[in-house]
Amino acid sequence: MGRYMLSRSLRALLTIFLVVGFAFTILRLSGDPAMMILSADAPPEAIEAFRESWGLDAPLWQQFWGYLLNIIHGNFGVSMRDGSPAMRLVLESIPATLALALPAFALNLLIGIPAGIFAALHRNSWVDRLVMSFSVAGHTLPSFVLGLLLVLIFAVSLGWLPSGGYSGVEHAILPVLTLTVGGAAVLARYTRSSMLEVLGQPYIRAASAKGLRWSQVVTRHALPNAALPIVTIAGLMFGGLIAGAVVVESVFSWPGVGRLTVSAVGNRDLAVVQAALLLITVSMVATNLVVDSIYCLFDPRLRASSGAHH
Amino acid sequence: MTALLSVNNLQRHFSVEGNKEWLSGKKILRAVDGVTLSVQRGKTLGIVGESGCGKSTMAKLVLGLIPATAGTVEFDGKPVTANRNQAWRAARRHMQMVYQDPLSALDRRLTALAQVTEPLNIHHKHGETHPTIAAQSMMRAVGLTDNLFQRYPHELSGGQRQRVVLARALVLKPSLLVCDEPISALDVSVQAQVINLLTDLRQQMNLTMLFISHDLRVVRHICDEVAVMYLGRIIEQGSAKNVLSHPAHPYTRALISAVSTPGAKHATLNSGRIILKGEPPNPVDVPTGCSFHPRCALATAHCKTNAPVTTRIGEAHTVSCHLHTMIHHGLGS
Repeated sequence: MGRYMLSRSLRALLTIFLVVGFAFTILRLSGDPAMMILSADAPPEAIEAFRESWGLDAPLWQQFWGYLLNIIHGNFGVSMRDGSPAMRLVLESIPATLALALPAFALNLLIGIPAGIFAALHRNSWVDRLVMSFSVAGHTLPSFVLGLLLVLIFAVSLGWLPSGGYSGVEHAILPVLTLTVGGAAVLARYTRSSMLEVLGQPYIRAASAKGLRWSQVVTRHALPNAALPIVTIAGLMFGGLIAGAVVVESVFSWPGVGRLTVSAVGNRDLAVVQAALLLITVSMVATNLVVDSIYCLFDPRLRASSGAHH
Repeated sequence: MTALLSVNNLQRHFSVEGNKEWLSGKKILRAVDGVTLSVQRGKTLGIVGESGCGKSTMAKLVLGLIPATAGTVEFDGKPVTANRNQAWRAARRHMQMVYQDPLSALDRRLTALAQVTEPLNIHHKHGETHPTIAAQSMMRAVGLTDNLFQRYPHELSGGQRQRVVLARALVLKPSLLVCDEPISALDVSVQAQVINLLTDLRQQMNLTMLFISHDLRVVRHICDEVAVMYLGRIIEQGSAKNVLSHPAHPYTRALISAVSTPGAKHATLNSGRIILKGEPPNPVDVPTGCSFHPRCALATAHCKTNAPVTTRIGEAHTVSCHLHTMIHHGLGS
């Protein structure tokens, strides 16, 4: 177990390094921040001075090396717009993101998993078809369409809820709902297919033939065995939500990590984008580490291969 | 002697989709198509046949794991149904099953001991001994050593896994054990050990067994009686000695001739192997008349149109073949 987690952690560090390096390079190759911040018709001297002051005139590898050294010293740079520390801007937007992510994730689990289990246990019944139709619809409807649709219905037509902003619980309802529809749909599909696969296994028939109640067969044998793929998907989903729902936050003008990233990319505010990406990567990688350790709980084979052999 | 298990005109049909074409309608697959047999208490009946002949469906029907389309199964004088109620679950402790693939028959998340203890907890057979103690002694009885008790299925060998499956089935002290190809997934070197174990346990526990296999050598070794199945029907049945030494049905003869046993002489038609023509026919499209006629070297025009009836050809030996009907009733019939 220890060695397993250590190798996973080293791999996680490598992943973070690769993402950071990739983002750094792409950002600098895809557009000139001086042009964006000072506007294209600024005098050439001003642009030159801007580049010099931000170190953008140095070779790419030198910039990257300096950036890495700064990160190690806890210095994530400052926003090119207003000079405030980039990491502080990102950290300040995290509470808003969590305010959407946590309820949405909880609802995804609470709706998606039971719906998938129920559909699998009533395979090919009308309930199954109904659940799966909703799931396909929720899966395929892009969140910006759904978000705008919800705004149209509940904010514009009915006037029950605000269409955007961040000041109270009622502002969170529509964005959370938007995130839940897609997430619960994905989880329901994966849960259903995972359950169906497990329910077809001989040990399920064997458990039933031992005289176990069907409800106990499901809870003792089917669910724990079907949990693995569900944990994977739920983990990815959680990482994604923490990273900030880029589209949904933009639609509902919700001041979270996602919207901060989008506006920083648009402005070529390099330090902010890099800080946000670093945080998103770390949260994704951390979620994956948690998922890996949850695997060990569910599957003794992984416990064995992790080196913690009796 | 009383029959512990009696099966009367048992049928199980599945509806299957026709061809890939649209609206081609559903067809009926007759997996088990009118089987009648009985097993005396303490005896072992072998069911042999090719894959797809309905052997495994028989096993599930006998245990009431799937409902029958028609016909009855009686266990110890009481009808077996597939209604999963309290009585059905309580009856499980008297009839247990051993599966073909032991790895997939075991829950990979549970230790060997937990797998064997579970049935005792389900049926609250606490009584005099603690479930764990009872499970451990059953595991020792099937030849599992103490150091294996806490292992997970993936940490056991194929033979050890099958012993766990066996211990799990026998820990409730059932009177009927249905073995569905219990050794076909095992290495040849392990097969004999498991078979010998089954033979010993059968005597110790006075087990009645339904032993499903396509391995005639094993069937000869372990079974008192043999029923040969072809396309959902039993075409020959009798004591293992009679059926395997004096096979009457051309199909049984072909099966026996396919077994390569150095040194042993079988009463086959010729000294050589009988090679059957063609593939086993599709149970969705069962041939008319005698279902074996397309592959039978001895088939006549009569066989193509008329289904044979079961004929008694000796003490405890029946066969469904026109050859024998004609011998018994004269060739003119």
